[in-house]
Amino acid sequence: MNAIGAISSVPGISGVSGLGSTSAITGASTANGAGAVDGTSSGTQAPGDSFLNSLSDAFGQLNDQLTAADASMSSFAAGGSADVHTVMLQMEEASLSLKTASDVRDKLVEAYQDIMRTQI
Amino acid sequence: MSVFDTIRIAASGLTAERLRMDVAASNLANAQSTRTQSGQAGQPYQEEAVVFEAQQMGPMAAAQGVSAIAIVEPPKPNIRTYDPTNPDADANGFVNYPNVDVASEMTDMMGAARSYQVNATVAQAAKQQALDAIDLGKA
Repeated sequence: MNAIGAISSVPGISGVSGLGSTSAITGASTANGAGAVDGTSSGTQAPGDSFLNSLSDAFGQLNDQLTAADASMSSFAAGGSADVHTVMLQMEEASLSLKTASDVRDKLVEAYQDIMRTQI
Repeated sequence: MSVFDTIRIAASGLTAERLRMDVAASNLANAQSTRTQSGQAGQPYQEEAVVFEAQQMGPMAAAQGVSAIAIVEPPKPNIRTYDPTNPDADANGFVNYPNVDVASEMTDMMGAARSYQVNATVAQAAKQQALDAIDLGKA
């Protein structure tokens, strides 16, 4: 489970927060995608929250899910009382979240590169 | 509601059906047990049944999972058989056998196995739905 351990040790999304300083990009992403992302993040968003904040919230949730999957997997391996389907579904949830997160990242990088390729 | 709520509801069904299966296995295994754990003769194993209850899961009241709240012993008379050679026979030569109806236990067990499959299929469908949604974002 080292791979998952390594992923879960990623502290939030501090690497990406560098993007926040280029306010033009933040503005662009907010205009494009913030509505959709706000809708998925449990509706606790204050109006002033930026896209990056909701993104880091989502990554926090992903981290929780990966940790939970990790914990139930190791308890199952250690002969705990966890059911097979509980372990499997938890891992499936974590993997779905990870897929979503990596797709969101792909979209972000794609948008960033589109902007960077702008001819001056 | 998120797609995970669907998966969690299906998971609650899976857990509940596993318990129902455990109880059916216990009833079938003990169909001939003339003594309970305390070891007293004349007090055979008693048939067990699970009580399920709908429980709200996630933010929507309509989305309800299932949870087992109790295991009860339905009041059914023991099966009395005349067998004076049995060490657990009473003074008149009758043995108290458990009130387990093997045929109906088998049906219940098959029902539990099928319901488990149903819930697994629901979880599978919810997962497929999420994957389809992710595919929407692909170019």
